[in-house]
Amino acid sequence: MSAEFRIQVAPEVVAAVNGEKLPAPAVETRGLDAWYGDFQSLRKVDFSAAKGRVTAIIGPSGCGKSTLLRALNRMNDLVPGYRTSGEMILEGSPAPTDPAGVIALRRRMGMLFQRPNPFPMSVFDNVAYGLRLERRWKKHDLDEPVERALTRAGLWEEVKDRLSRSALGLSGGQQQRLCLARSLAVDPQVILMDEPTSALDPIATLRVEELMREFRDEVTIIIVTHNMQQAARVSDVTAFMMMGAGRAGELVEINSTIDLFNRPSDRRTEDYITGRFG
Amino acid sequence: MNRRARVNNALAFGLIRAIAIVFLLLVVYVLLYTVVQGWSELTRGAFYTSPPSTDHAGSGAGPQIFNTFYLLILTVILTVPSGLAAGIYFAEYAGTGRLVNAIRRATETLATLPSIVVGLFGYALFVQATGSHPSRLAASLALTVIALPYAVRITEDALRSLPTTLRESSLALGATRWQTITRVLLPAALPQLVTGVILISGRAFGEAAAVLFTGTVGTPTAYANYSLSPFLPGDSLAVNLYVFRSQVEPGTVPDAAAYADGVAALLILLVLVFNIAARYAARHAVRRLQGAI
Amino acid sequence: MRAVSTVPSALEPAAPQWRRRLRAERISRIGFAAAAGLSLVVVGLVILFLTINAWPAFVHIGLDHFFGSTTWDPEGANHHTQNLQPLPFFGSLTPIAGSAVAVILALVIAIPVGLALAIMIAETSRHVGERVLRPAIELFVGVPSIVYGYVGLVLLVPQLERFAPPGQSGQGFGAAAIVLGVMVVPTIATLSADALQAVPSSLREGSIALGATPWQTLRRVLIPAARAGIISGIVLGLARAMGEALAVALVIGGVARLPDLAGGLSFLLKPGMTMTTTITDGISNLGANPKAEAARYLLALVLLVITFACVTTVRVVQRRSEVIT
Repeated sequence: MSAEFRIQVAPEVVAAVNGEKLPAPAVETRGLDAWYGDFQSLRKVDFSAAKGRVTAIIGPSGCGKSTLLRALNRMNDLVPGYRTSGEMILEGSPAPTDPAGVIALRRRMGMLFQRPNPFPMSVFDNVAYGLRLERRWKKHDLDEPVERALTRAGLWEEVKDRLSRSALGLSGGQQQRLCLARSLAVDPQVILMDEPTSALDPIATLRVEELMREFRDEVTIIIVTHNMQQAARVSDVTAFMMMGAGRAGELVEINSTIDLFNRPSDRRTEDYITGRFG
Repeated sequence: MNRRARVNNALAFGLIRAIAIVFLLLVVYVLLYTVVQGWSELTRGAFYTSPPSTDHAGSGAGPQIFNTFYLLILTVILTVPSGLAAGIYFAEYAGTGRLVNAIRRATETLATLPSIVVGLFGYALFVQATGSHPSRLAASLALTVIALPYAVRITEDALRSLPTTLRESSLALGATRWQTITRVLLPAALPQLVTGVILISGRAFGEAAAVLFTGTVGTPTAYANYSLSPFLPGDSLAVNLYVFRSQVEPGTVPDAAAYADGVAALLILLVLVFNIAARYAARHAVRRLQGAI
Repeated sequence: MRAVSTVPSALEPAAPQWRRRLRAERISRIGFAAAAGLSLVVVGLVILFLTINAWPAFVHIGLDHFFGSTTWDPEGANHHTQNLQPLPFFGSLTPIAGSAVAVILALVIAIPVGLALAIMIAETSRHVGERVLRPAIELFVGVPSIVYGYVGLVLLVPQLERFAPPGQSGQGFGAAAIVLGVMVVPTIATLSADALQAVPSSLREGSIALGATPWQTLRRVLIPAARAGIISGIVLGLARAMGEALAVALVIGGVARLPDLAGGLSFLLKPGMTMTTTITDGISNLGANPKAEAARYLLALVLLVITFACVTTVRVVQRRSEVIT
């Protein structure tokens, strides 16, 4: 094992590894199993994401990365035949499973998808959507939170003159940042990202990655990516998943990004990051 | 062998093309012929304003036109809420249980049920069993039985064609399913839903057999009024076309044939209008959603 | 270092507004399910009311007579008892045979034409297919069926009359079959085109790459692969032709006579009746002849059973094809 980095890692991540202790986990799973019908998709997954840090989940396709991500905000509950067992812990206490609790949980966890998917309504209404779910607002009371969310997503300057026009007229990169602003508006503790830049061009990708770093300490980010460079660029911690027996996804290794990429403790992780398969 | 394959290929596609073209030309000819045939009636003002008459020529289809649209609107009002709700159920909630399966089969059966059977059923339930007489309400209810399965299917297809992530994004923000459906999915599916309503209307106004049994009594001259009451009997243009061409004794209505020509031409033109409106509505709504307007 | 946001970690318990939202969730779900169940209720009502009203036919006519006799004379206009009272006959074989003959002939016309149009839409120029043919066919679907009947009466029947024996108007099975065939073509064409377009292009390209001509590809690969959709289209076309009433009533002549298949093709120009036209005839004297009315309700029940059979066939065909692919 060589000491030099195989992959370039973000400077603050290097700083973090050199002495800084990871915060307590915002989200944890213990022995998480998941099935789609008879097919077991996740087996005994022990995952955790440190509060205010970026955790990347990498692994070959079909290894259950997205299933794990979607298990965290119970989005998979909508899939017919899906069931799950094991523990899920939010900030130290068990995650709720009752309908009201699940809705509250989803509200605390924003989600960003592969393709930007603004709702077919105005830019303003997109951002205000989450706020309006809980109660009625006077229109001008929303101005301030909407502006704040758009500013945090680095989009305010670009859209402030076209707030009332349809969000579908924005470019792909802008749409994805709008989706981010839509999540930020309800002040989530966690944002789940499912390959959020795979449909974006390199410049738009860079903007989104910059934003992820800006949210350090404020928001816990969990990102699924098939791009190892991206995981290295943006994440503090990386989890590597693979299909085990019966094609069920297993979490092979979770470690600080710098260690996982440079001193993998599992043979399979090393094979994967050195490109020997996958 | 290779040569024969090529000759066969040319022959087969030549034949297919010929059959298709002949059929299309035939139908276009038929439609044009009908419009041309009825044109003199269509250009006569009284055709739209006066009621049909049994004793003099030059009568019109005024009450029938009024009634056709009356039935249409009442049917849409009855069909849309239940069709929409059922379509939402199939697209958003339904699993694969036995009851759901039975309901799906029932919906398919209704969509395929002959309209004359619906007419007879409508007569038995809405007219006879309720102890009333044929009425616009009974006719609209029968038309609703016919239109409902189409409304269900259109709604279900429209919702299913939306990207799943639209649904998931809303839920991920802490929306309930009801909020997701009413605030995101239905607005997003609006273009298809509007198109669907227009096409269903087209179906409903051309339907004759069901209305014949549930809405009409006696001869077309019985309907010379423009009252808004749903409890009055009422026939429609499509029913009229049948009645004037089959049941009216020759000689009792002097211009029965000309009248039928006019009605047929009017029906075809209305179909054209509905089709164009549906296409226009879809395109317009799409543009609006995409922010071009 | 910026402050970590201080959101309470315990998720808040159910507040009044939560209860309201969850109640809306439950109620709306029940409402949607109820609306969906409406179809089942309506089908149940159809079965119930048709059966109640057909009951006198079971009791007073008897299924052996209804399904065993070819004489349909509900008023007893042509048959008398020995003391010259009218003697009605309710043999449904005549309308059933009439429907069968009209529908089979209609399909003989509609299947080749519908398939030709489907192939044109799906396999030749996409541009022409999607921009011209499909909209045109959708327009034809929208034309009220009674208009097809009217055109058959004013345009087709006079042409057929020239070939008919003296005294015949040209109305009959031939006219009915042509009108029904034209009406059913769009159903077959659109469903078959959908099925052909759903065949993965890799199959098409694979066959072409092996040196097959487009026609060989179509006949040996695409049509077999699209079989389920094509059969569904034909079955639903059959159901539509079987159920059409008024358009047929205008052109078939409405005479209670079996199609005379023994006499060659001459039956095409002779009038007859179908199940639907027999029901339609009842409109003129509803309530006057209870037995005849019950017999007509029984015919409607027969049509309902055929509809069930068609829907089930389509289901089975579709499910089989899903299992294979």
